[in-house]
Amino acid sequence: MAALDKIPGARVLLLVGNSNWFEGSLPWRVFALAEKLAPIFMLVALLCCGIGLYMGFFTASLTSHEAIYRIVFLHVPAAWVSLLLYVVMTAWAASGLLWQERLNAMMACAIAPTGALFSFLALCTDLLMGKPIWGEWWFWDARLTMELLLLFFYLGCIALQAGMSDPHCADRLMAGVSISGLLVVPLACWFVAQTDMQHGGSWGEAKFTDLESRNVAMLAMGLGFWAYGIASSLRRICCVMLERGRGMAWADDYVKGQ
Amino acid sequence: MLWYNHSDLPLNVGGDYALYVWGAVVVVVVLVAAEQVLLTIRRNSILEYLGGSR
Repeated sequence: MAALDKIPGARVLLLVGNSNWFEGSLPWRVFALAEKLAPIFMLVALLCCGIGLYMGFFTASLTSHEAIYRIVFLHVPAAWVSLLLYVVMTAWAASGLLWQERLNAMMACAIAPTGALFSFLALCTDLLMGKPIWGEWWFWDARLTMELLLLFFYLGCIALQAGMSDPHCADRLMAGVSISGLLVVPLACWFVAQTDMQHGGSWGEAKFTDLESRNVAMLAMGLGFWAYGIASSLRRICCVMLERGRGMAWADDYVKGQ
Repeated sequence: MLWYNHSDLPLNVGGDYALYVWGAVVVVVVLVAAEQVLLTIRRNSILEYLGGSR
């Protein structure tokens, strides 16, 4: 062992090699952790969204009476979170496919409906903003079309999980669908950057005189929606785990305790 | 590059658009609340089913 001291970092490597990294990913541990963390994230979401909405709707001042632009405090964070959740969902689904880890696939399965909700919210808020500004509820803007495509990919993943009787086969197909849709995320970001460049700044930015309040409000709403996405996914993973863990000792023990 | 050129559109803003703004808030709150209610119903029905099938 004395020889180990001569090699820098050898003891740390030995410790890492000996510890059981998969112990934390045991189903009952993940289930217990998800049950504990979900209310905490929900509380963080409520707090952040409360602050964000107050600052965005009452503190951030506009250049004129263009109150309609306050919808960006809902639209932009919803779009951010829908894109982010898609990346996270694909990462879980792809790792589940690669290492044949059922829990990873279940995580992807739990994220999809919340991602679809945020994608739908981003589209709805854009429709509500589009009618008074451009006189049309819908127009084939590249960003909107990318968001619509993202919603379709989410719905495809949900439909696969709901429509197939074999969950493991559904997991593998879902991984394939989500990986093939991943291209939408960089494309959406690129189209947003292109539109902002065309207008010399983002649409919302041009309309607000107090940029500091606007940025804080936007950040708070983004964090709030992100925390909500985590809380909701954690609540759903508990349901998915209970459904798939039917007949297992830990699931039976949990049901007995309820 | 972009399929729709915003600069060609009349920027019809101004006036009172509170209905649209608060409408967006209501849409967000209602959908989020609906998701949570559905999750609670799903969890309770799973527990009921597992409790009954034991």
